Amino acid sequence: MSSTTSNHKRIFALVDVNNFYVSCERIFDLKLRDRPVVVLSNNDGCCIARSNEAKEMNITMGQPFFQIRRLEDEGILKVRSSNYALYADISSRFREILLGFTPDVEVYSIDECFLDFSKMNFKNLDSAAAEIRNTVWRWIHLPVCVGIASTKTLAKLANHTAKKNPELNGICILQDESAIRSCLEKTEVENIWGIGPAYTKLLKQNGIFNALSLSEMDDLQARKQMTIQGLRLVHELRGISCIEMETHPDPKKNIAVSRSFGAPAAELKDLREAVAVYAKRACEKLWHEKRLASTISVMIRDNPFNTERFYSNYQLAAFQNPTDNMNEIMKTAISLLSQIYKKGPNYKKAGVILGGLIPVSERPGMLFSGKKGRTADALNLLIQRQTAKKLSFASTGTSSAFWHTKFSKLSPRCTTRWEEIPRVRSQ
Amino acid sequence: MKDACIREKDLLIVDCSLTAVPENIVVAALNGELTLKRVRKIKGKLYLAAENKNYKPIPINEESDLIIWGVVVHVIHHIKP
Repeated sequence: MSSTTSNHKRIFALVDVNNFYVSCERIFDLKLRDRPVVVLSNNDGCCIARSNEAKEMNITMGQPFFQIRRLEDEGILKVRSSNYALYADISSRFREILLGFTPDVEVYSIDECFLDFSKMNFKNLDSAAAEIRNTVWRWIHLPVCVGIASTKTLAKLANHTAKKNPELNGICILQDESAIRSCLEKTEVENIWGIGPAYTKLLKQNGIFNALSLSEMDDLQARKQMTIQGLRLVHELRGISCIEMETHPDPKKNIAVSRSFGAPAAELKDLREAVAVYAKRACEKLWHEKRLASTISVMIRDNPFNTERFYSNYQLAAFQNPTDNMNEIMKTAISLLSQIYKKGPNYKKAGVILGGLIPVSERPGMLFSGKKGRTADALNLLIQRQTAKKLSFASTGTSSAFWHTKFSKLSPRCTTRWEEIPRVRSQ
Repeated sequence: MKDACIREKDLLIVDCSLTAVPENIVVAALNGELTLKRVRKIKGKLYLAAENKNYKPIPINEESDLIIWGVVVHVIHHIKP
């Protein structure tokens, strides 16, 4: 890349929502605030999100619901089914708020975004971080932590530090040498972004236990043992930015079908036709690769050379269950399109991206990745998912009764359904 | 909230980004329930008051278990039965 980027001091922020699913549930249901809450996986199987209060009760990630049902019966614990419609919508609002701080926002996952502040002129990073926290809290009532540093890996570390140390008030900025050193020293290798169980084992065998010693690893050795990826990581820990922002979805984990149009399209019906065809093609690719999609996004944009009023937008939705159902995929694509379509621009390009791909035969690993001792939970989840699938086929065309039992503690889809909009008492 | 021209089944547009000031109608959470109140300043102190006179205004202070959720900025009233 050009020398201007490498010489320039980089600033990255990682903004992450605390206990995202629980926090989403707490936006509209105020009874859930300041008390133990968990959110269950599909089919109400096990815990996939816990409030801090629930963590303090030693409820673990992936814990089967039947083990904690008693706590709910006794009124100590509040339990919710996962409400993906709500979470996906809140996630996109979260991203939109962050776009107000910098145009360079990378959606890293449903509840965290990287922000590139390198080109921004923030006199005081502390107050910028505080402003982000305040704005997200006031506008959508979500608590977030902000980590800021000169590389993405360090920003991730800073965020982790902010989360683990309540006295920091959700903000950690790693700028001066000594602060970075002490933070690295306190971070065990398995908690570093990009270090999985295999590398953890390898590093520990080599006597490298914390991020500081990893950052001091010899370049040649790092490259030899952990490939170029590992060397990059070591450099990132030293404060040299090597991992760029990915403002477009990673092609390896996605199936994308997008085309530039032969002639510009302005009408919704024309775009709808195009998006339907792309969604269908994306779905066929999905079948071919024997995968299920967890998310879908639709993008549209007009001519990028029309710099004066260039319009480009995209919207993401998460499927309730990972799916390869063409009908569901096409329907969702069309509904996403109608959310981002704006009359006026002459659209030149549209695309459909299926994300969060998992093999048809495999349970979703993303919920528990990076966590320890999950084999039993994984099996549990696999069985649940397969049962769910079989049952859902059986119930197709009958009634939706099964659906209700599966998400028996589902909160209203407050932000996406008129009929489920919150009600207010007027006395 | 008849005095404020808000009736049953009306649709409220609530702006969470605003800071409530006296005379604003707000959605507030009282004991975990969302309710509609008006912010009042009485003798220099802030209260949440219902428009209905049968209810006593609730003081807004550190001890009260209430959260101001957002400020009502518009009301949409359905006229088709």
